[in-house]
Amino acid sequence: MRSSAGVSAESASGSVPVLDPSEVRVRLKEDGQLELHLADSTVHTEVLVVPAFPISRPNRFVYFRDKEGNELGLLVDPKRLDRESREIVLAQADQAYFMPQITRILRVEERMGIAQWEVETDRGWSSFDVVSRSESVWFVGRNRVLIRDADGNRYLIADLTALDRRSRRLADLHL
Amino acid sequence: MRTSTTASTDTEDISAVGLPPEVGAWLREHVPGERVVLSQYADLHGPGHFGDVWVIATERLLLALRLDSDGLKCQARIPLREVDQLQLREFVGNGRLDVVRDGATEALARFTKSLARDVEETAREFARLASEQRVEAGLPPAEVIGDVADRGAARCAVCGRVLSREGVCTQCMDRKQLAWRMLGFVRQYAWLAVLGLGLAGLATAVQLVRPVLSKIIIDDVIVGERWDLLGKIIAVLALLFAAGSALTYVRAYLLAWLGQRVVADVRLRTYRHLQQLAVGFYERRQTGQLMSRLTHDTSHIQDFVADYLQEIIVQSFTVIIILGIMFHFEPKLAVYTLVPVPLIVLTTTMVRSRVRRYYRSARRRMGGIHAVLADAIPGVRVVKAFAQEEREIERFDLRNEGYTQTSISAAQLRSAYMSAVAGLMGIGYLLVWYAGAKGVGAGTIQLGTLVMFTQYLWQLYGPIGAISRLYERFQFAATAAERVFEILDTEPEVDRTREQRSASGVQGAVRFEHIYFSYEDGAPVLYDVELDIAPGEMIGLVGRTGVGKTTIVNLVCRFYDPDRGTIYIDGHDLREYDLRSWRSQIGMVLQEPFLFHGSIAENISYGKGEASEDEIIAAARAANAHDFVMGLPDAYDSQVGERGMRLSGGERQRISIARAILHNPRLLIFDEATSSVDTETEMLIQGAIQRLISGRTTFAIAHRLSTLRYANRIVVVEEGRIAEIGSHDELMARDGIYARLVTAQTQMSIHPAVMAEEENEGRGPGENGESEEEDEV
Repeated sequence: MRSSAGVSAESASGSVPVLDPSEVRVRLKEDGQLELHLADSTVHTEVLVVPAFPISRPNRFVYFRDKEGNELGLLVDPKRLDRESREIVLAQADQAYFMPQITRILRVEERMGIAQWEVETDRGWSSFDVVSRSESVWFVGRNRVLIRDADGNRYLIADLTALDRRSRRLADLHL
Repeated sequence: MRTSTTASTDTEDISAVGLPPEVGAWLREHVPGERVVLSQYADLHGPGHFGDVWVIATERLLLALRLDSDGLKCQARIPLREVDQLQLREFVGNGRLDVVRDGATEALARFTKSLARDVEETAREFARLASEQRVEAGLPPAEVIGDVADRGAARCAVCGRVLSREGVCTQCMDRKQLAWRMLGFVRQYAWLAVLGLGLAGLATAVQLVRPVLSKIIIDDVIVGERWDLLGKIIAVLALLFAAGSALTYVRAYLLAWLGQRVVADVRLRTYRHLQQLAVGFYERRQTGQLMSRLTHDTSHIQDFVADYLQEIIVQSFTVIIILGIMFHFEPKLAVYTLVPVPLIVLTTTMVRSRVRRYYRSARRRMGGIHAVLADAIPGVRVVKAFAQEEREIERFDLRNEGYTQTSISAAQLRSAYMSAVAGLMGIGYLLVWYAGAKGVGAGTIQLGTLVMFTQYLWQLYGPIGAISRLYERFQFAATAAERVFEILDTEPEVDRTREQRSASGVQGAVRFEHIYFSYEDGAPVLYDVELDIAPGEMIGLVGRTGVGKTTIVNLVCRFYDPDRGTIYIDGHDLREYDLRSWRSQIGMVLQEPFLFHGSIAENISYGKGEASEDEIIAAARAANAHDFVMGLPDAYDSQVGERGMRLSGGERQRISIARAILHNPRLLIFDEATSSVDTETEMLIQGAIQRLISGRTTFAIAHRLSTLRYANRIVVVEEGRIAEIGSHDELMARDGIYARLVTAQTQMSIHPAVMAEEENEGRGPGENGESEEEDEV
């Protein structure tokens, strides 16, 4: 999470080029495939967007990959793309790693090792089951928690301390 | 289930296919006359928001309806016959189903992982419906592109709920039947159980008679001045006390004995059964979990047998007897004692579950502390090397604080509960004293009766609290029993064929004929593998990790049977051989040799119980192990294994080779046997292996190709298929995958630094071989 002195995005990319957001364009074609236009006017089709730190930095450090899995380039800050490209990239990153953020915990009921959660998220109301707590709850830093439900869906509590009192108490009891 | 595959004849009975009425209304309005054939629910709206979507196939159309705040919206309407492909794509936490027509993609629905499996199944049905239409119109059939690799959580086949970690549906398990099965363990001690429980009932009755006698002393002896009775009553009381303690002793001993006996039987039966189960059973479960079933879960069954049954009898007996006596003597006063009972039951059931939550949370946090310790203490060198002591302390402090906070909260709640119950009991106490004293004053109640009531009062409330907790305790025992029964109900690995051929004297010719295999449905590991190996031939298996090398070996050992195809040993189907007899012909030397707790001699003779000392030493010599064994202070009697002497990887390897030599198998399996040792040790091991393999059919899995120089033939496995097969020279001449691997490894060995890092991780330069090995592990 911290970027230490002397290590630039350049070296983090290895041999994969770091893309300049002002020179890159991303387009969504009619067949639903992504097209990446690079500065040297090469065009890649059927491109996938893969976030490198989906939990800690969901909207930064996004890699583009082709169908075969080869890395085409790293985009450090997609927010600096032109508007259309930005929306496409962020939507694709969101689809690639779907992670609703829990804003309120309504109810958690635990029976025989299965916890049933009922939550409000930034994507609406949801309920899910957590079977094995020790394997399903990841603390990323001190107050950021990722919960994986029994089916492999992911839910994020971005900041435990920012929750209301009741949610906080439920989180404390069940995380 | 939110999916439906039932056909509906009319949109009127739309709810019969699992669709809500408003969808039916929409369909009637917008596609009148179209019959719903199939529907699939999806739970995400386009931009990634939770919401309801129904994908519906009618006779001619494929529709996707989205429920917005202002009603249903049609987000896709495609004639079935125009569907070229259904495209299923899977991402983290969600997936999507799209339709491809005329080369363009149209979104049908997005869904969370929870529905992925259902959507995949329905998509295939949609494609089938589309294909029917297309074939009529002379178009190629529609197909489904992509699939769902992640199958999601295991769910109960009956109610669809997620199964617990142990694979038990906590909703559907048949508790009554479980109770009967648990009682089944007691059957052979039935008369003892009946005796113990009878004694428990008797002891309770004896204890409960005492206040009646004290009433007689007060009313008849003291107030009624019948002093002649005193001696007799005291004698009866003394007898009751004596009988009470004798009964208590016998009952306690008997039931404890019974509980231990039963649980010992259960443990042994479960363990015996575990030993007979196939390897596949173990692969799907964690060792710790299985161990906890044998120790922890069986003790819950003991609790049920020894404690729970007794509690039911004693507590309900107590309540019934006390209430009986109370109502017999003074019904009005008895009603007063019952006033706080509902409140006590309510408080207990309510607070207990909350207290339990806190305790569970505290236990978890203790687990967290353990995890931090398990990380930091073995990793202390790394911590110190990176000067991260403060960070580790902070990490520990965080967990430590969390645990303490939860424990304090639990204690607080518990104290509150105790004082609340004490207060509630006080209500009954006050009522009885008030009404009782007034009654005594008015002469309607005898003084002794009042004293008796106050004595019973305290004895009554305890059991009532206990009874309200009984169901919860039964739940625990039932879940534990379910887990134990899961083991007992798993079929042991048995030979399914009638003919049981003995494997002694096999030559060791192995032939794979069109072998297909997958560990889980839908993830094939081997495709159409063909191999023909002569007796005594050494085969090297080469390939990247996960391509199926170990699977080939697992099939030879018959840990699994192939899905399709047959393995022949000396021309007979492997399944015809007696399993144990076949396995006794196999010797194994693994990358991480497993030594059991015991002496080196015992470990060498593991596969052959009555080996003589001569044989053991001869085997150790042949394995180049003798010299280092004799260098140990306790020589062949040195204790090794988990709690014993620490041996280096190379030393353990040679002991396991000696074990294989003594076992004298027809078939040998080496799984990366020399990958974790230095060059000199490797030579010692190679020498030992040479002696071992002569004349035996051998499979050797290796990453380091140099270890395969004696192999007769090398098999290169790639993606579950045999890519190349032939001798070293042949394969080098062919200049294929094997040649590339060899070149890559030779290049690496030109750079000694790389080599050292690869193979002797953590060792400084200049250290080598035997003398340093003691320190290695």
